[in-house]
Amino acid sequence: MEAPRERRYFAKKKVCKFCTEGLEPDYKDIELLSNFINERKKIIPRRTSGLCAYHQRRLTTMIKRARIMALLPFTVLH
Amino acid sequence: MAKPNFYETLYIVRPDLGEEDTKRVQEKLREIILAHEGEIFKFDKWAERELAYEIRHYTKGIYYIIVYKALPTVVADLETNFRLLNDEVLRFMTVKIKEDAVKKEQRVSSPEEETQIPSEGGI
Repeated sequence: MEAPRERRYFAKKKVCKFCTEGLEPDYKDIELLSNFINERKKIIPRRTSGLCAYHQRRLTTMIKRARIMALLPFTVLH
Repeated sequence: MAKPNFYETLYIVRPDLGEEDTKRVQEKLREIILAHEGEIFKFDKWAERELAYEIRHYTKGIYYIIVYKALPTVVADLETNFRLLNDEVLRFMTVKIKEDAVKKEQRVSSPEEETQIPSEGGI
C-alpha cells in the first residue's frame, strides 16, 4: 500500500518567533538569545530557527554584540 | 551642525573596584556626555554577573548602562576616555538606539517632533 506523501516526513510549520510575538532581538536579553545558539554556542541557522530573514539578520548582530560584552560565549573552549 | 543621536553605552568595570573609583568613572563619563550637548536619561548599574569568558583573568564583572542623547562626536570622545580608564573598565560598547526605545525606557523630558532615527549600524 502506498503511504500518502505528506505522512512521509513530519515537518512542523515554523513561524518567525519575533514576528509572531512582536519582539525585537536585543543584545542585553541573554535568555532570549540563548534560545538561538546550539550547544557549541554557534548561531542556529535560519533553516532550523525558522526566523524570517530580517529577524535572523538582526538576531545575528545582537548575538555578536552580546559576545563582545561577555554576555554570551564565543565558543565552549573558553 | 550635526544633529544629536540617541545612544546606549554598556560598560563593564572590574568586580573589585572600590566605591570611590566607581563614582569617579561615572562622573567622568557623565562629564563627557554633557560636554557634547548631551542629555542623560538613564545611568544605572545594570547587573553584576559572571562573564561568559575571562577578561584579564576576571570571571565576574559589574555592568553599567547609560542611555543618552548627544552629538555624534561623543562616541569617539567616550572611546578615548574608556581607553584611558583602562585600569577600571574591562569592556565597553556604544550602540545607536531608536528614539522609541528611549521613550519606553524612561521619561523623555521634551516631546519633540517625531523623527525617524536610522537603525543602528554594525557592531
